[in-house]
Amino acid sequence: MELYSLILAPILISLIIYLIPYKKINYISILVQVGALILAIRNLMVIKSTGIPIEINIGGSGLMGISLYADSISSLFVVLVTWLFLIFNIFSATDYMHDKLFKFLFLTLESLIILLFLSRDLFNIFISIEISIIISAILIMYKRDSRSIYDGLLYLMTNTTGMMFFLLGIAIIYRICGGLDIDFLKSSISKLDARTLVIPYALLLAGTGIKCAVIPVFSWLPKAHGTPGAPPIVTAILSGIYIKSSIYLYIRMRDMFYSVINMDDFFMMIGLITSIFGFVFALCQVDLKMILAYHTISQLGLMMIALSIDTPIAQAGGMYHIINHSLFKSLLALSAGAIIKQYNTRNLYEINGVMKAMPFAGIATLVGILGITGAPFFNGSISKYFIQMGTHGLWIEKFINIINLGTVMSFVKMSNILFDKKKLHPKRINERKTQTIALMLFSVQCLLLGIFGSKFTNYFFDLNLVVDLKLYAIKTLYWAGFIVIGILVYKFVISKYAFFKKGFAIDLAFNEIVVTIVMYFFIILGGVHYLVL
Amino acid sequence: MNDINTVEIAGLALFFIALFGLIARRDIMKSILSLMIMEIGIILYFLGANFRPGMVPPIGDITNKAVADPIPQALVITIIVIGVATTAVTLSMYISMFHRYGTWDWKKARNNRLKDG
Repeated sequence: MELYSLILAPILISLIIYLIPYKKINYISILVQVGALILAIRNLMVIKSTGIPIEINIGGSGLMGISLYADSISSLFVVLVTWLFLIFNIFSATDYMHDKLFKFLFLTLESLIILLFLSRDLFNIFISIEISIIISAILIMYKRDSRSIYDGLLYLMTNTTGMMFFLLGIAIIYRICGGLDIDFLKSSISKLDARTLVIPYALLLAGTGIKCAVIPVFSWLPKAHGTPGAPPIVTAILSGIYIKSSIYLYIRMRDMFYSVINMDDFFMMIGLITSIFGFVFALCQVDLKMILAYHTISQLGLMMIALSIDTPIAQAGGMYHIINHSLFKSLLALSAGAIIKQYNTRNLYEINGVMKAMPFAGIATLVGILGITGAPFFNGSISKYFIQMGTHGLWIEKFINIINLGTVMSFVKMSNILFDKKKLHPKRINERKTQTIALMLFSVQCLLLGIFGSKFTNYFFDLNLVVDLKLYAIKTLYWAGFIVIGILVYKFVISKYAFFKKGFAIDLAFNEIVVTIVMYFFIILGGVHYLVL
Repeated sequence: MNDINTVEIAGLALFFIALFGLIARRDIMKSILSLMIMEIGIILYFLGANFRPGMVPPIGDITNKAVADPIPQALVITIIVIGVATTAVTLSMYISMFHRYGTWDWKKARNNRLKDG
């Protein structure tokens, strides 16, 4: 019953709010979200204390009917979703949240993302993804800014094409196995030959890959996440939590086929290429939102690497990195939105002295940067430490440091906005209270999850991991070294050459994106052919 | 996958025709149509999955008869509904983009977007 109300309550109540023409009713949505958060935490606690996943079936047995399934990991993600949406609501409580249509779309998106984390059959997953694509496309073009309409349309069409691949995969796997429930499919796949499963595997993973924005098919993400017209909380939702649902989908798909088709090396390679290209493109940007968008791609690659390694420590590191990334990326996106609104420009080189003009947004950006680069005591450091431990002894071990260096370099470039380099002595701007509260909540949380990182992972992922202080200290030294290298590279290379100030990017039109989708499909097919068959 | 039937072949053929349309046509309207055709192809494939000639629909008296699988039919209805929603949103977005950029060509639209700065 709790699972139903988690999914249905936001939609129904936002619909009621939309229909009733009484202004004060707007604040009910915060109450609803607090309620959803409490419910989600309660679910998580029940599952953790009893150790039994909650399962609800509609229509007879779980294998044929529609079923919702919450184990400890998915209910942890549900807590994360409700918490993030509550803070987003607080952040925009005085502007966008007064708009009833926006609020309706916002709350519906929340419950669809929860549905995605909770549903157990492929078809429900398809439905929640498809509807959430439509809603997020509307949210992207909400202000009907000139660019954002094109970006929203491209986002919608690209992702729908991807989901068509996914749907064909579902149809073929239904034909082969005769069911859609993921647990049922997992057990029946393990009895099958890999040769029968190649085509549905490639189709499903191609659809997932498009949602995850891996390298050949990433082109929609910077447009959707970096479009100038989108409200800051939409950017935060998209790159903070919505994109994580596609990584979660990847975890599901990998787990489903794991017994027959093991493509870990292939996806590690894809993740590596994705993250390297991501930060290289991020280095070339001058647009604040675009740096964040390309950086999301880079971190998605890192998560994909971690989740493709079959050791518990790497898996836990990947999961923990998903949570951490959703916190600091939301923090960065929200503070970037506030900064862009005040300065009325997105150009990195025109924004100056944020620390003095908007101290709270400045501190929030700094915390986000420290978190994402993996500074000691911040949450990013713990998850990156686990990932590095997990990759120990594998070929990918050396490359993780390169990815971290790239992250540091691109954020050294971004931190340029914080300080008053031009000595203009900007005046203090009054920041909105709701924004400050939201940003501070996120910042404190980034710090807390860093300090209690290993306890948190051990409790939620049922592991017994200890952060070795000596290795952690070495990692901290690496970080400091990377910061020094990053500053030197910025000073002598990036700020000198005009190439890095042009905002270079590969900008594909829709037809070319579809070609890359087909290419990616065939790359997976070839990969399966060489690595498995 | 040995006994693939005509319905499924037709569905897959439609899927690939639509894929060709998505790749080769720069007209936005044709892209939207291709997406619809792609969906119809999948629906056809889904309905034809595990169907053999002589099967009856699962309604009424079905004793001693081979019954067609009812689940794809239930799922397909949902796919159709979602497809309608997607098409409606895409078309309305296309209309507002057309008002802004005045073009039905993906490449020109992209160039206009770049100029928008």
